[in-house]
Amino acid sequence: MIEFKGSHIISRSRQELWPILQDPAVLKRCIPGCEELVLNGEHLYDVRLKVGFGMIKGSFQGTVQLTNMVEPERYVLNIKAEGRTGFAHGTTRIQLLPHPSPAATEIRFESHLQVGGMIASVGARLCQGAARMLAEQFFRELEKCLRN
Amino acid sequence: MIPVAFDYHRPRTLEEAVDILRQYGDEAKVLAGGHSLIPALKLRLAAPKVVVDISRLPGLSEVRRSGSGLSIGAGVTHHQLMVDPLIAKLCPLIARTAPEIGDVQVRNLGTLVGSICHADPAADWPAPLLALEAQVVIVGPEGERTLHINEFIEGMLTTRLAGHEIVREVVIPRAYPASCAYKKIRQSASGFAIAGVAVQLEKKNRKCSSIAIGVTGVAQRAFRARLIEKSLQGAELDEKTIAQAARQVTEEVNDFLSDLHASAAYRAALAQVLVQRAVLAALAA
Amino acid sequence: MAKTAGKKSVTRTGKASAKAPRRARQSAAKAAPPASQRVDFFKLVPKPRFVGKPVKRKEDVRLITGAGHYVDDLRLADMLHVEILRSPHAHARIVSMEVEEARKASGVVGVFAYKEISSLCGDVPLAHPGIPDLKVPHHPVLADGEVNFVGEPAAAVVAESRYAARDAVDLIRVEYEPLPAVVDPEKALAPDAPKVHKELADNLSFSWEVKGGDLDEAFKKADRIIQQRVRSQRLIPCALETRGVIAQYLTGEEQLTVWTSTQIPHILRTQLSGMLKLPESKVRVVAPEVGGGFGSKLNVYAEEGLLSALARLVAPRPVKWIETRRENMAATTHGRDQIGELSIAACADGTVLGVKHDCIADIGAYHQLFTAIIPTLTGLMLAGSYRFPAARTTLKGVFTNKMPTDAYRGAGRPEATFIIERIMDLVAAEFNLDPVEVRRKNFARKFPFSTPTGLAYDTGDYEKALNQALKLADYQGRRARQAKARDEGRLVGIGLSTYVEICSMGPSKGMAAGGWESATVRVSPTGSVEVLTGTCAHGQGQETVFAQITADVLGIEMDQVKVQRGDTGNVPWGVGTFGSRATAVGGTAVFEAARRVLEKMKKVAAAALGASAAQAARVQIKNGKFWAGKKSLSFAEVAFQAHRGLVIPEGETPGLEATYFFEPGNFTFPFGAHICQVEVDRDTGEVSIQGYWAVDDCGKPMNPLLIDGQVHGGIAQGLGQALYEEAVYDESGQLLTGTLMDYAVPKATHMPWLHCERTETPTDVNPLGVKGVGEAGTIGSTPAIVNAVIDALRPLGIKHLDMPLRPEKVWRAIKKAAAAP
Repeated sequence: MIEFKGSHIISRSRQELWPILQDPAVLKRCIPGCEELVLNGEHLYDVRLKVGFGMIKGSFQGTVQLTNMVEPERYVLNIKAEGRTGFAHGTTRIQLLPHPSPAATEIRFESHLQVGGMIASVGARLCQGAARMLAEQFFRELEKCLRN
Repeated sequence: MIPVAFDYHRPRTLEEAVDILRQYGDEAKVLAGGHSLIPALKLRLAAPKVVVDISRLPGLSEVRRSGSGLSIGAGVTHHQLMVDPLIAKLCPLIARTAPEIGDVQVRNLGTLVGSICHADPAADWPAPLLALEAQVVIVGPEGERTLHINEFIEGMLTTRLAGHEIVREVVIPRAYPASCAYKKIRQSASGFAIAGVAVQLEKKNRKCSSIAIGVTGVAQRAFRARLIEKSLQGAELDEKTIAQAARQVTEEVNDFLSDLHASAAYRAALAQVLVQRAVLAALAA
Repeated sequence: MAKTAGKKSVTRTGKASAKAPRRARQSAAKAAPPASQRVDFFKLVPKPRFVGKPVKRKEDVRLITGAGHYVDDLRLADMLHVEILRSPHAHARIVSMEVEEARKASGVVGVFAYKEISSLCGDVPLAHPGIPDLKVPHHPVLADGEVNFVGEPAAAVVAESRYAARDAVDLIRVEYEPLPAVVDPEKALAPDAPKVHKELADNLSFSWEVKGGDLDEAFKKADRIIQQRVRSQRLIPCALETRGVIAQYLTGEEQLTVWTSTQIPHILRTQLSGMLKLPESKVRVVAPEVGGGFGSKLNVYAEEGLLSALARLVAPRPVKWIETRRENMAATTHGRDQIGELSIAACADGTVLGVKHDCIADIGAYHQLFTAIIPTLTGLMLAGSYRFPAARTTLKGVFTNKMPTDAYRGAGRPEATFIIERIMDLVAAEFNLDPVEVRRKNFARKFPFSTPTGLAYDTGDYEKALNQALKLADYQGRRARQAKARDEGRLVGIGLSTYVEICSMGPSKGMAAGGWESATVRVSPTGSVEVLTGTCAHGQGQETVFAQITADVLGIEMDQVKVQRGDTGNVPWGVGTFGSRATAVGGTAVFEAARRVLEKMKKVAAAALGASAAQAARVQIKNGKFWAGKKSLSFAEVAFQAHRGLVIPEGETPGLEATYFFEPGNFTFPFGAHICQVEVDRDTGEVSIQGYWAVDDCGKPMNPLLIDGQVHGGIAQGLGQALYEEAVYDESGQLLTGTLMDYAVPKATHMPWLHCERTETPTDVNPLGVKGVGEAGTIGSTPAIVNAVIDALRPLGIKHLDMPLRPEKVWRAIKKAAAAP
């Protein structure tokens, strides 16, 4: 089980940010390696991902689902992805906290990720770092989205 | 090895190699010593369409003088660095790090350049290369560019090398004195560094006139211990001063790595101990 | 045979009471032939030319030059290749499996799951351990709707090449519904724990107990009762050669041949015949070169049944499967994995009065061949080399969602030795005594010695080995230097273990299958000699030892002897190589068969030479010739006469071969004393071994070079358990140490210089006087090393740490001790 948490300040108010974080186009762009994201139910998306670190690359299929949604405060992001090199099942609790500056929000997240198969048994020592890098990528892309 | 099928190229010149990479970009992977690529192919964690073998390219397997420093070609193995007289003379820190890498078989085949291109956070080389201000010379279809080792390695398993580029050599820009050391704690299975510290220093009278400390294995990427360096710069290097300075290692990094081999707290403690030991060893060298 | 020759029956039944399986309790047995009547090797060959000498291994030239043939080196015409899809989940229901894409892929011959195989191949078998109420779950060769550990086979692809097969595995889509996994054996016993097997009431596979002596009395009389929890962690055997199987079924001949990397070809043949519902006469098993096993190939595996079944489906084309290292680590049996709660009744003078041991064995998801038996051996060997009067082991075998455990070098005895040798040091520390004195105080001294657990040790002289080791290591001087080092603040420790173990398994009464071994010695018309043995060497060097024995008995050169093993189509019958039995049991069979051939040759020589009755009774071999009076025939001439059939002595038949089945009357109990010195780095927790001294006693030495090899390799593996190795599963049952990048087997650079000597205390269980040495190093070394590390940490108040003693664990203990008031 990989557990990690972090926070990011995003220069948008919570009310502005809330719909953006549910926008499939934004999700597709920000989820690292996301090649396809198709709505398949309420806040449920089928996804196809290609995630890589250097030469280590893996293709995954799965779902992204948003649950426990309390606008504009918090929700839970559930990811299930499976591929030839293994699987990852994770839940990330996301909190949108008001920031002293009115046009900004602090996003706090806490992730629990269960990794299995090949990636767990040969890459355990790298999984934590990989998960962190993916989270960082997500927020970097989100900021880029918001700038445009 | 039962990898996903790939095409194998063994170009005769570096230009030809670059040309193949230009065609395939991210679908291609460069093979030198194979000590990172082959295991990944074997496990099917990497499945490039094309493998470009540069291990026999002429001129790449040499250590040469370069200005007042030296250049290490992409095909130079760890073992070569252990025994090369030029390395021993101009850059003893490299010669002292090389025997600490892997085991005999790894050292006979694996290369320094291959290691930095793979950018495993537990690899040894980034520590001394950071301390030596090494430059990475990259060639690609658009020509040549040079990056400082610190810019070259971005993070875990990632570098600034584009898919169509090749690292031709690593350049150590100048000669360094013998007052240097590399100390590591090995992960007992892989031989990688749970923590590794390289120190290169220069003394004037009894004072430390310059010091560079590279730390690897404890964080997402190797780093220079700038706070410690600052404390020791110009100081008289006695055990107490060194021990005090080494404590700052916890301030150099936000997140120490934690995995099944070592917790973050243990890595932090090791980094501190190894900084002390490496500085003392460098002084005694 | 020197010391104990001529004494009669060696064994005695201990007073043990238990619901223990009778087979596992060694008991009085009739030695065959009785010791008093038998001919001992050293009587027959008073001055052996080969036995006892450091003869180089016959097998080494081909093995070192890569000229030997392992399963993977065999390439049969029209061979197909198999790759196996394995579960990535520790526990899951298979909701669906789509194989169409894989089936259509280029080069693929077929994709097979449980429903295609189940009618051809039954469950993976186990040797019944004689434990009442043993729960045995359904264990199919391919998952039947549910997977129970990471690495469990779920489907198989047969293809024209290994590449095509592997590619196609990636095209199979399985939908799994993950189920809660249970990984911790103690949590698995909780009433609300998830169940590994839904058809069973709970995760408790079996309970077992062995006890003897008056425990109440012992604990009443004790000055102190010491409690300690000890763990023998889960290990991965990591034989150099992974497993591999080729199977071919010839429809016309109705003949199945299975080439496989196994320690037990004959047992496997019997078991495969049961799984496949084929009579044994139609099954041939061949073990070509086997590159190590350490117990992990003392088994009947799903893949062996699976490949046999696939061979029938694609007959007559052969099918081949070669295990990858990753598969080997996840899906070849693991070793150890026991947790023991100890209560020790001890007196202030160091005398141990009794030990209670409550053990939980994590057996993984299924029963493999000897899964349940291994931890019972721990209970039986709990007395170690000591004579405390009362002992009890209660054992719970618990299912978890992990790879099953089974034999691993030592198989149950390293766990016992670790416990008892830690106990000696705990008692020493408790009363501030020298651990050497505590051992002396408790040594068994009269042999045969009956343990409270019901074993009868054949022969021994524990103090002699200990004294020699103390001298070899300069123990007194070393302790003095340690005291000085401690004054300087250094953490230097000296540890020892004075182990005893069970070898030459064993009498059939004490075994789940037969405990005998067979040999055939066969001489051709031109005088070349074949030895067929039922043992199946996989690194031990029996080819050399058996040639030494045969050459000495027959008075010929070693290179005239060819030792054959591993082929049930060739060797009449056999049990196999495990439990340090091959030389003591199999070597004795070779000796007895050779002796019979010799007797016949003497008669043939006498007849051919027209010797008088008096001369015939005194035929001698000298310089490779058979002498009757003043006339002689060469070895080859006698062989020719035996086959020519013209001068067959009365009462004899033509031909020249003998087969002998040796049934030992008891186990043997080799022993020794190992001493280790370490220094612990206070700042990093790293342990460095500063010296290692071992005195082992394996009875009569057959080949000192091979003994050294076994001891060295054994110590390396024991050191691995003490300091480095551990199979780590995360809380969801994922194996995190899935490659050699993360699982640390010791390497050459981890090894200290080993100073090895021997004492010789022959056994009278067999006419060679030999006891066995395959596992001794592993058994003796682990506790010596751990005791040394704990001794180094003693000034800090540390009394015990669980293995492996990896740097961070030691560092944390030092930190904790420093922080304590």
